[in-house]
Amino acid sequence: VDVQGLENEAQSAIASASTVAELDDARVRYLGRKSALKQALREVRDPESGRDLNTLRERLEQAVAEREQMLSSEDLERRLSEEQVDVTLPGQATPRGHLHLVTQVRREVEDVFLGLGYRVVDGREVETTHYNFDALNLPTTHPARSQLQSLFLNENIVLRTETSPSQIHVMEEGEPPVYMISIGRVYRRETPDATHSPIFHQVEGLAVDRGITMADLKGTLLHLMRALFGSEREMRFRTHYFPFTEPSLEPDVSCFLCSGQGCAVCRWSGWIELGGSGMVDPNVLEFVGYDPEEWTGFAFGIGLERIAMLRHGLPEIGPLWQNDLRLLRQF
Amino acid sequence: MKVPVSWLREYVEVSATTQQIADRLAIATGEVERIVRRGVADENGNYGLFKVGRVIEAGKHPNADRLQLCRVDVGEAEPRQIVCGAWNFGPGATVAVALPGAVLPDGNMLEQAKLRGEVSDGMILSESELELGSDHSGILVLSDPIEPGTPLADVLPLGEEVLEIEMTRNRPDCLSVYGIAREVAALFSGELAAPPGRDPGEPGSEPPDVTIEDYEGCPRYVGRLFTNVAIAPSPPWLKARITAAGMRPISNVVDVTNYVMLATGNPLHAFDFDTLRGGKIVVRRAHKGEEFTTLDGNLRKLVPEDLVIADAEGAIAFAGIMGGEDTEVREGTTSILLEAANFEPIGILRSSERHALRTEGSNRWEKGVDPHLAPQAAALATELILELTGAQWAGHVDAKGELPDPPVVSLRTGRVNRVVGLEIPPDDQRGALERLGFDVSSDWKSTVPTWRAVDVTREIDLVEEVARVHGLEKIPFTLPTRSAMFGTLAPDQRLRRLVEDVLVGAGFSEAYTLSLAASDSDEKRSAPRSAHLRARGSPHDAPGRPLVAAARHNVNMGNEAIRLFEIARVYLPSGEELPEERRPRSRGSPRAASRRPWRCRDALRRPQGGAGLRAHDGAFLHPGKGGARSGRLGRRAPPEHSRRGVGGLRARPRDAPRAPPERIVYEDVITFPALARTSPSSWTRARRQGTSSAATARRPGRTPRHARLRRLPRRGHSRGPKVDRVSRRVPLARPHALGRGRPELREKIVAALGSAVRGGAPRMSPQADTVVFSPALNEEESSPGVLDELRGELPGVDVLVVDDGSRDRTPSSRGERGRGAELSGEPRACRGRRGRYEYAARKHYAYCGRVDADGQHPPQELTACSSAFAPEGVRRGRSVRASSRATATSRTATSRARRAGWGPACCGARSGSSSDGRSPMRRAGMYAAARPPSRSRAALHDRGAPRSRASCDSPTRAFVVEEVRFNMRERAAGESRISGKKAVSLVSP
Repeated sequence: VDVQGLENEAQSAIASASTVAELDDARVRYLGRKSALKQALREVRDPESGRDLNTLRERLEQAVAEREQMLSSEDLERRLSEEQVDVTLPGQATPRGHLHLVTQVRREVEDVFLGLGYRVVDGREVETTHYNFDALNLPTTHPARSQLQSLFLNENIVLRTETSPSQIHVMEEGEPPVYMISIGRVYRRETPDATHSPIFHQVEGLAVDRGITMADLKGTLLHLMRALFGSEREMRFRTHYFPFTEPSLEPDVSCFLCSGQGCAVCRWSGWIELGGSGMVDPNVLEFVGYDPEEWTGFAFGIGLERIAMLRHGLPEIGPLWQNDLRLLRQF
Repeated sequence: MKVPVSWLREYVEVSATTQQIADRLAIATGEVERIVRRGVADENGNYGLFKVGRVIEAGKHPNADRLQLCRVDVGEAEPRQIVCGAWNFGPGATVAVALPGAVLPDGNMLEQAKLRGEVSDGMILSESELELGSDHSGILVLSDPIEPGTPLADVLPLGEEVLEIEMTRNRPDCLSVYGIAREVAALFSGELAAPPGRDPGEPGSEPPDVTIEDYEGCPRYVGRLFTNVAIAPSPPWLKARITAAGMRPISNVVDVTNYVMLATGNPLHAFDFDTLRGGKIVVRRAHKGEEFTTLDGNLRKLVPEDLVIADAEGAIAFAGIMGGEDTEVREGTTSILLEAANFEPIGILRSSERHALRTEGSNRWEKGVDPHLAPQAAALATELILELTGAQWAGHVDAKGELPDPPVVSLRTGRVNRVVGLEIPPDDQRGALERLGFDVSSDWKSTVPTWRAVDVTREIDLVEEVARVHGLEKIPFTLPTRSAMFGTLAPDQRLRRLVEDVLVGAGFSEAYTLSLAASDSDEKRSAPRSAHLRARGSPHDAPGRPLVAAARHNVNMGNEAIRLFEIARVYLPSGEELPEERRPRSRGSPRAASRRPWRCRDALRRPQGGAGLRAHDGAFLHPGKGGARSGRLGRRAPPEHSRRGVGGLRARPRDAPRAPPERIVYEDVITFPALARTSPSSWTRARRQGTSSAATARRPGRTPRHARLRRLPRRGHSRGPKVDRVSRRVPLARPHALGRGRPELREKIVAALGSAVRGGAPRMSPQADTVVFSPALNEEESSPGVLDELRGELPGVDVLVVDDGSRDRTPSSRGERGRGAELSGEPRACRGRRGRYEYAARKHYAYCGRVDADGQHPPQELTACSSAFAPEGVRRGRSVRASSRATATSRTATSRARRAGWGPACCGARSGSSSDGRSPMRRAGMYAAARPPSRSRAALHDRGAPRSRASCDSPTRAFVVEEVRFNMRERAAGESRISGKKAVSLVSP
């Protein structure tokens, strides 16, 4: 067999194969079962020619492999360069809904207090005056007991004017320590205006434990306010009066818009009023059977709409109840 | 409470600026809303331009009838010529003059001007121009002979800063200038003046006749009689203070009563003594039907609960609230009876509410005024009345009942620190209390000053006093040292969030609607006294109505793609005192397209896992397009929202959606391959009975599922090969679901099924309806079970078990021969595919198949099967294009079907073009039928007969190859059992 001639012919055929199919043809022709090389190998009887032919076969196989490698990488490159997708085309839009802004604030507040190890309690919205007023130490002369300020279903049943009654329920049902917040709708007989609505949402917090102090109240609310309004916020507390807390404090947060420089949001005082707070009045603790000498606690209440309006610059509370998608979709 | 600062500083000496005072008060006492600066501004030498002047000449302006031309000495070398419009003065009057350049309180700068040809070199001022009072009828004439040129500021309070403080209802003592002064003194350690007022000498010998009939309503009544009273306007300083404090000057006596109230916090009243019938005062409850006219001119009809001041004949004043017109002090009054009383708060509050009459007086009384304050107030008033009216103090009486002793409260300094969270030295604590007027003994027993007796009764109240005086800002910010943590949401709260998230993910936005409704429009207008909750079942409820209203609002606003939901309470009558409140409550959604109410369901299905629907025509739903399961869902009944589609869903509050389980137990995903399934039970039932299942006729009309199913054949038709329409449908959808509501179609289907099964149409075997050919299995033990199952699945069908020649003989199967199963007696004849088919043909069986235990059926099998039975002249290998790989492929089919939105469904598979034997399903048209209800799916699993199908067609006829896969038995402990088996049947339409 003309080894050299066969090799030249095969190598040139392999080298000239320009597609994988052509290469395959060449492989079959020169390395296939019926190829001259294989025929020759079968007929080999002496080691020398066998070695020659085998090395030729190896060379050819290697050449085929190299050529194949080359062709396939060329092919890959060609495909990579040819196949293109216009990535700037718009995708398929999936409709997305939006949680109500107040729900979003509710979740934020819940999460802050879950992180602090508080329980979230959903109380009743329709309450007896016993829980809504008496248990909260409201004197009989308190204006909230008047039909001018609260919504009564009958003499003894009132739509809760704050979420505090749920505190009483929780304390009555369990033993201290208590760490809870209660979030929900509350009802007051108010004429709707820019900042008032007869129905609004309130978050009420309560912590009763051994050794709870006013400092704890301050720290807890500071934590909440920084979570809601930014980590640079400062707080101040002003003395106030609420029947269910003693001492009572009104928390102010430093204005997040002007940082205390004075602006329309904080009415040029640098501080924004938020709600009410204080140390749980011993009468309330006694009412639920806790010993006020052993247990102390703090409580606070803040309107969720107020937080939402302040933070997002809503000038009025009304739109929060209109369910206009143009508003809902902003948040 | 408006507190003029100059007045405040009269009672307390502090170096702090007004701003500092305001800031401190705001923190420790009450909210300081603002500091109002009124009167003449003291800046840029403005004060220097206001002088005292003496009118030297005054005469008519030569060119104007209403103007006076004056020459006024203002202490300069030459008098100034000033034009003035007032006529209430003449030469010699001492007046207030503003010189050119002065800035008046209204912000205007005075300039030299020519008025009707005469130069006016300044301005003679009136009270109102100086904001010292409301009188603008004439200029302000100063009574005292003051040297002209004296700065006016030395004589009158030209400029004033006023603190506007909003006090809480527990601090009636701070509704007075002196009360605020006491706070300022305590907060700044300032020098507090003695309480204002000291009795000037002794009263005369005519004590007024005062009787208190109701000591509960009126614990104390100090009455003082003054004679020879000259009623006149008050002096400027008094007017200025009262005006600055927000009240209107009236006359000297009335102004004195108001001044004393502002100064001390004890409201006073003055009666014209001569108008008192019988010359006596009785404090009592009103008689029934009694009435009198109050100062504001309204006739008041009294009820017996009202406390009144009466004379010998009848009521003359509302105690503590307002005096009567008849006994009013007016011009010409010469003797007055001054009332410095004390009234009980609740009665005053109730009367004031009852008669909708709120006054400065009632505002103080209803919060509780110190009964020890009355003599002090009376003394101050007496001082002023004598000074201002030249009256004689003719008599004095102090009628009183038992006055409460000041409370004594013990304080533990450690308790203060424990509540406040700050170590406050005992001396500081004592100092704070003492500055507030508490008398603290050495063992910390604190006697509460009488003016704080209402508010301070317990130790905790003292804690507040110490904390606020010491400084709330000094308390650090800490977090509680926890002994217990509870930071998890309850399951229903997690569920609420989940439902919210799922709905939001499905494109719904959350709405909030009011939970109150007016009971009807009339009552709404008349301001209902009680609230009306929207209770379920009440006519106001109409579920979803608020959301529809919200949707309508959005439509009106031009918004598109409106999808809303709400989660809120429902209030149900419970039979008990309080209604039952349930939550969460999901309400439905308005929408624009026709199919989307079901989106609600699909959205909710995810959290609760598989929710089917049953038909429901609840109150708000379209009667033919509603469903219910864990709530109500459907198209809204038409009239409510015209042609725009509104879908609604309302989850039933109590039991749905179910909360996610506390713990989800892993379900093995590896052991069993995902299979396409249909319900063999219904299929075989249909075959057995020759009719559709009873479920078919259960409900008339369309349900969403039907709508979905209906689509299937249509889609198949467009792509599939040309085969008989009915026969093609049969295998693709569950028979009972087909042709519902279309009886003629159903008949066709049933007929097709019947012919396929019972041999109405071309039959292939004279001996049996269908032969299921079961392989010899590797586990001999299971053969009897397999046979039982096969029979259970295919009753009335002969079963042939063929030993395919493998080494694992099935001796126990042989025993089944007599029970309808045949075991080939010629194992070797059955060897190989062709052998088996030939065997079956020889025996006149319809079909032979071989199924592997692993559930995989080689594709060639079907080809061979087909060719074995192919009529003459049909070329082998071409007539059948199908694969029993359906099992494997259907996984793809299933996932594709899922992507296409069908949800997990049973998938039939159909070959498209010629099979290359490797992936025959690659181009298969796919069909997905609705997934069977989860319950029957579970049953299916138990019975273990998932089924996949491939349909084949030949030029001459179409037929369907079914593959039935029987359950894979679990490998029980120590007992190796058969894990899968499959049979193939051929159904010819």
